[in-house]
Amino acid sequence: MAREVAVPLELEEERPERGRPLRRILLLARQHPLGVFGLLCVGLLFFCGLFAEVISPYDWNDIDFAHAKEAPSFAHPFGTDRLGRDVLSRTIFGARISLLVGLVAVTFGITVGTFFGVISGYFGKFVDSVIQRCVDVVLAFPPIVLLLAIITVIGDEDSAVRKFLANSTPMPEGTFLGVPVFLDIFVIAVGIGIAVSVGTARVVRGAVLAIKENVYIEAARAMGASDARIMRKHIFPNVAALVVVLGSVFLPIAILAEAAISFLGVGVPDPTPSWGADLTGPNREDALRGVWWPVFFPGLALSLVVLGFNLLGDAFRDISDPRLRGGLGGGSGPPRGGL
Amino acid sequence: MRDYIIRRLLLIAPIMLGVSFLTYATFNIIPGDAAVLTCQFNCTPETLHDIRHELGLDQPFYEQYGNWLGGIFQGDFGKSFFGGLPVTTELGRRLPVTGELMIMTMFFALILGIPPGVLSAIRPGTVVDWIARFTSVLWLSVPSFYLGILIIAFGVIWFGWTPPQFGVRGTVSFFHDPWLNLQTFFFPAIVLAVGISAVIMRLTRSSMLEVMRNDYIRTAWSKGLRERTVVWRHALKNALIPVTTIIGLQIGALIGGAVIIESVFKLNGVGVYVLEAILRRDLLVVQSMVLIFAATYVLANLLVDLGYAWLDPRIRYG
Amino acid sequence: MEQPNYWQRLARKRITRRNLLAAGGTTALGGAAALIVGCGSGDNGGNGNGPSRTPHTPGPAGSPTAGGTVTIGRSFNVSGIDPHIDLTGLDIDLLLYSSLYGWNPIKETPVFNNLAATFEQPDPEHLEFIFTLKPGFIIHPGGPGAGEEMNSSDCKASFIRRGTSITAPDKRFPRRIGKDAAAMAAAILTPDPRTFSFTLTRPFVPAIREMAFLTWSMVPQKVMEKYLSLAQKGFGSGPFMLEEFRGSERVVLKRHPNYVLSPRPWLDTINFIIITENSSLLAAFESGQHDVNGAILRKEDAEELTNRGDFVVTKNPSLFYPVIHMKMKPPFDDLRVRKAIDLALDRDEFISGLQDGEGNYNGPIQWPQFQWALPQDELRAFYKPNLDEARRLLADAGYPEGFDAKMKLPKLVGVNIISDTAVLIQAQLKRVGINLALDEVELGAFIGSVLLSGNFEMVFFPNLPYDEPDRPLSFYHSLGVTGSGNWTNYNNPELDKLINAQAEEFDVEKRKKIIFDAQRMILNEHGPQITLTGGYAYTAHWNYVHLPFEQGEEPPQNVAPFGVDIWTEKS
Repeated sequence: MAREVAVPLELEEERPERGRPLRRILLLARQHPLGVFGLLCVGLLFFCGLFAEVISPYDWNDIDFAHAKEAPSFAHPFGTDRLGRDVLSRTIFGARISLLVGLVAVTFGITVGTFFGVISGYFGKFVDSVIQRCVDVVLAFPPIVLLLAIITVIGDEDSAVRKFLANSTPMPEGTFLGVPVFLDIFVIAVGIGIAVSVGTARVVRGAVLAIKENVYIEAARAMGASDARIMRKHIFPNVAALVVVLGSVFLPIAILAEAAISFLGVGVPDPTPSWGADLTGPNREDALRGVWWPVFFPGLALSLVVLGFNLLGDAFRDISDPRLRGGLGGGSGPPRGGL
Repeated sequence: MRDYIIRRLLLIAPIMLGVSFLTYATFNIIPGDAAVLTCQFNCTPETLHDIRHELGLDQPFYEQYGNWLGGIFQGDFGKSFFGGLPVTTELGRRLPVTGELMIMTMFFALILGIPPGVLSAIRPGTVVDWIARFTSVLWLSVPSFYLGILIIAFGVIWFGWTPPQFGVRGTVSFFHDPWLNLQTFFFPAIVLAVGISAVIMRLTRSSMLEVMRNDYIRTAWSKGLRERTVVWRHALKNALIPVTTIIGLQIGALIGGAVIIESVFKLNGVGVYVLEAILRRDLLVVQSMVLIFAATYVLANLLVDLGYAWLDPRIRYG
Repeated sequence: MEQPNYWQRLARKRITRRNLLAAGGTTALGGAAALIVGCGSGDNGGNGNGPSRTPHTPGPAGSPTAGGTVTIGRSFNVSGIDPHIDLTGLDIDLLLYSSLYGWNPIKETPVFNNLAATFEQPDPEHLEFIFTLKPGFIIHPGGPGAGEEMNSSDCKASFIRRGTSITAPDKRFPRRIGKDAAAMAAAILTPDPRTFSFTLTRPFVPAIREMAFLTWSMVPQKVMEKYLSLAQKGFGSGPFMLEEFRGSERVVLKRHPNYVLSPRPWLDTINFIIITENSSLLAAFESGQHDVNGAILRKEDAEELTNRGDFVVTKNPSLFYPVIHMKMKPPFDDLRVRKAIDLALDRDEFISGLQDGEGNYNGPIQWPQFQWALPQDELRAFYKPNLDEARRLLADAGYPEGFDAKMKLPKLVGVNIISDTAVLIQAQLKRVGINLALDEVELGAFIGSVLLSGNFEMVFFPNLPYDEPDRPLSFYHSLGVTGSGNWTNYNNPELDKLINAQAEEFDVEKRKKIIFDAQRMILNEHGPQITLTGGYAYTAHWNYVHLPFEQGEEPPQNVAPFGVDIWTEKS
C-alpha cells in the first residue's frame, strides 16, 4: 500500500505565531491555498455523501427516454446518460457510495490492522514471526491483484463472509441509508478493508516496537499489570495518533480502490451509481460517439476527491512538520492504478 | 554481500511457498464448482463425477495443491477450463505486450520524473518548483483509467483518432511495424507513467535537496565549479540511489496498472488475461497468474534491494 | 408497420435463416444468448422474414471472381468451434463442416444442397428416416482421415456425439432415437457407406427442422476419435479449412481446394476478427477495416450506413426474446404476485426506449413466428399496465409494501442492451414497491451456477431465436428444454400435456390450435416466464461483397451451402 519513504528535508519556514484561533486558521489558509482547495474538495465529498437526497435534482435511477443523451444544459447541468438519467444526480450519489466504502473499509482495516499490529509488536518472538510472515505473504501480491482476488472470493453471493453478514448480523441486505444492495457494497468495503489492515498491521507493529522499549511499560509490567491492560492502557493510546493519520492516508486509497475494481467490473453492481462503474461499459461506448459527459463528470469528481485528499495531506504535513515542506516522498499519494 | 544475497534468497522461499498456498486456498474456497462451470448444460450426477475426476477435483485438497505446485515446477501452469488452452501458450503470446508496455512506462516515468525533480530541488520556492510539485500531485490524483478514457474519447471526438489496436489488426509487434507499434503503446504507457513519474519526481526532489546540503557539494561550490557540473556530476549521481528503490517498488503499481490500462486500451496482455479469467471464474488460470505476478513482484523487490546494497556502499546489511 | 402489406408478407412467410450474416448484428446478441440458453439452434441469426432491403448500388453485374478475402467482424469471443457443443462459434463451424441438408425458411422445406442426397420417410407415422448420402465430400487435408470421403458411419458417429455429449444442447430429438450412446448406436443402422437410417421411438414434429440446425454438423469419425476436444480443431469436409484460431482475437479460414463443388468456394480466405467493444467494431467496419459488420446496429447506425450508400443494409424482425424467469417459491409462487409484476411492466416503454420505437409484444412464442404467435391485438389488450391493480394484488398477496428480490443477468462485454433492459425492468417494478437488486454474472458462471443449477429468484436474459414453436414452449414444460427438469421448478401437468401434444401433431391447423391454447394458459398463469417485447435487427456489409441472397430473402433454387458462393470485388 502506501509506502512511507523516509524523507529528508529542508529547513525553511517558521511555524505561524500563536494567536487567536480564527486568525491562526486564516493565516494558515493564506500560507496553504492548495490545502484550502483540498479541504474544499474533501468537504464537498462529505457534504454530497451526507445530503445526497437533498441536493440532487433527480433520483439517480430516474429513467427518462425522452431526454436521453442530452448535453449539459440548465435542466441537467451534467447532461443525461443513455437512459435519460441525470448525470449530476448520479455523480452526487456516487459520492455517498465512495464515502461509504471508504469509511467502512478504513474503519474495518484500521481496527483489524491495529489489533494485529499491537499484538505482533507487543508479544514479539513467535507471535510476531507468525503474524509478520503472514503479512509478508500478503504484501507479496501486487495490490490491485490482491484486491481482485479478495473481492472475487468474498464478494460472491454464496461466500461465507456474505452469508455470515446476512444471517448473523442485523446488516440490511436491501436498501439502507439510500444505498441499494447495501450488503454487497458493504462486503466490497470489507474486502478493501482487509487489504488496508495488512498495511496498517505492519506500520503499527513498527511503532509498538519503539514504544515497548519505554520505561513506563517496564514499570507497568513490574506493578503486575496484565498484558491486555498494558496494551490497552499504555500501548494503544500511544499509537492512536499514528492510527488516525494512517486512516486519513488510506481513505482516498480505499475510494480509489473501489472505483478501480468497479471499473474492472467486479465492484459495485449496476445500476448503483459508482464513479468507477460509470466510467466503463455503455457509458464508455457512448463517450467514443461523442456523449462524453456521463464519463467525464464522475471521473472528474473522483479525481478531485483524491486530489483534495492529497493536497490536504501535503498541507497538514507542512503544518505539523515544516521541514517536510512540499509533501515530498511517496507516502502521501497512492501509486497509480488504484492502490 | 554474498551472505546477504544468500540470506535474502533463503527468506524468499518460505514467502513464495506461503504465497502459493494462500493463492491456492483462496481460489479453492470460492463457491461455484469448476466442474459445473465446465459441464454447463445437461449436467447429470454421473457426468459431473466424470468431469471432477478428469479435473482432479475428487482428490483431497492437499493432493490437488501438490499436483498444481509440482506441475508449476515442471513449467506446467495448467490450462483454462474454457477452451483448454495452456497458460504457458497464452503467456508466450501476451508477455511481449505487457513487457513492452512496462518498459515504455518506466522509460516515460523516468523522463517525466527525474528532470522536474532535479529542477524543482535546485530552484526551491520558485515558480518552476511550484509547477513541478503541483503537477506531481495532480498526476498522483487522476486515476489512470480516467485519464485513458479521456484520451480515447476526446481523441475520437476532436481528432477522429483512435488507437490502432482498436481496429482489426490488434497489437502489432515492434519488429513487424515499429511506427504502428509505437502508436499502439505510446498513450497507454504515458497514462500509466505519469502517476509513477509523480512519485519519482517527489523522491528525486527530496533526495536531491538532501544531497545538496552535503559537505562535498559545498566543497564543489567553493571550488568555484559551475552549477551544471555540481548538480549533474556530483549531486545527481548520489541523489539517484534512493530513486532506484522506488523503481522496484513501483513494479507492483505497474502490474496493477497493466491490468487496468490493458483493458482500457485493449492491449491483449497478461493483465487482461487475468482479469478475464477472474470474471469467468477460470480458477486454474487465475491462481497460476496470481502466483506469477506475486513471484515477479517479490523478485523485483529482491533485485532492487540487492542493487541498492551494491550501489550504496554505506549500507550495511547485518 | 412502415411497409405496405407488411402483415401479409409476415403471414405468408416464416422465419429462419442461415447465411453469412449469421455473423451479423443480432448474432452478437445471439451468440451471447446462445451461450446462455445453450439449447438453441443458433444458426438462424435472429431474423426472418419481412426483410426491408435498403436500396444500394449493386456491384457490376457479372460472374463471381475467384480469390480474395472477406473479413467478418464479431463483437463477442469465440469460446470454441466444436459444432456439437460450443454455440459461440456456429457461424464459423458451418464453413468447416458439412451438414446433412440446408433449410429454406420461406417454404419451410429442406434444401438438399449438402451431404444428404435425400431422405425417405416410408411410414405414415413419420418415425423412420432413411438417408442417402452424396459422394465427393472430401475431408480436409492435414488431419485424421485426410482425403477420405464422408460416409454413413461418420454421420452415425456425429449423431451419437451430438445426441449424447454432456455439454451438447437440446437433446429431446436424439433421445427419441435412443436414450443413451449405446441405444443410439444400436438404433442407427448403416447398411452401406452411402446409407443410414433410424427410427424414432415417438413422433417429433420438428425433427426435420432440427437436423438442419447447425449443431447437427457431420464431423468425420476419425477426427472425433483422435481429438477429445474439437474446441480448437476444425477438420471437416466443408468449403473452408481452419488456418488459425485465437478465440478472443481472430479466426482465419482458408479455402478447401478439394471441396465437392470445386472450383468453388470463390474466396481464398475468410477472416473473423473479434473486437468486443461495439463502437470500436462499428468504427472499424465503417472505415473499411472489415467487410461484414458484426456490431449490434441501432436504427440510427443503420440509417447512417444506408445514407452513405456503400453498404447493403438489411432489417429483419429479431427473434431474440428478452425474458424474465421466476423461481416458483415465495413470493413468486403466488399467481397474484406474478400478475402484479406483469401489470407493472410497461412494454411500450421497452419498445420506445430500447428498441428505437419499433417492435411488438411477445407472448410465449415470439411475434415474428407469425402463424404461431398470438395476435398482437390480443397481447396488447392483455398486457395493459395497471399500477393500481398491481399494488392491490401485491397487498392481497401479503406484500402491501412490496418486497425485495434479486434478479440475476448475464454480463457480456459489448452487449449493453442486456443490462439496460434489466435497469428498466428494475425501474418499472419499483413503481409498485418491488425493489430489485441486479446481479450481473459473467456469462460462463451465469450458465453454470445460475441457470443450470436453478440458483436464482429471478433471472433476466435474451433467449435465443427460435423459428419453431416447440422450442420456446418446452421451457415451460416440467421437464424443461433439456428434458431433465426446468429451472423455475414450474410444474403444470395440463400445460405439459398440451406441449407434448403439439410436438406430435402433424396437422398444422390442429397443432396451431393446441399451441394457442397452451399460450393462453401461460398468459393467465403470468409466468413462470415473462416475455417482453421484440424489435428489429439490422445487418450490414460493404457492397463489394456479394452474397447469393441477402438476410431475409428466400434463397435461390440452386443455392449452395453457406459460404461457397460469397465473392468479393476487392482483391
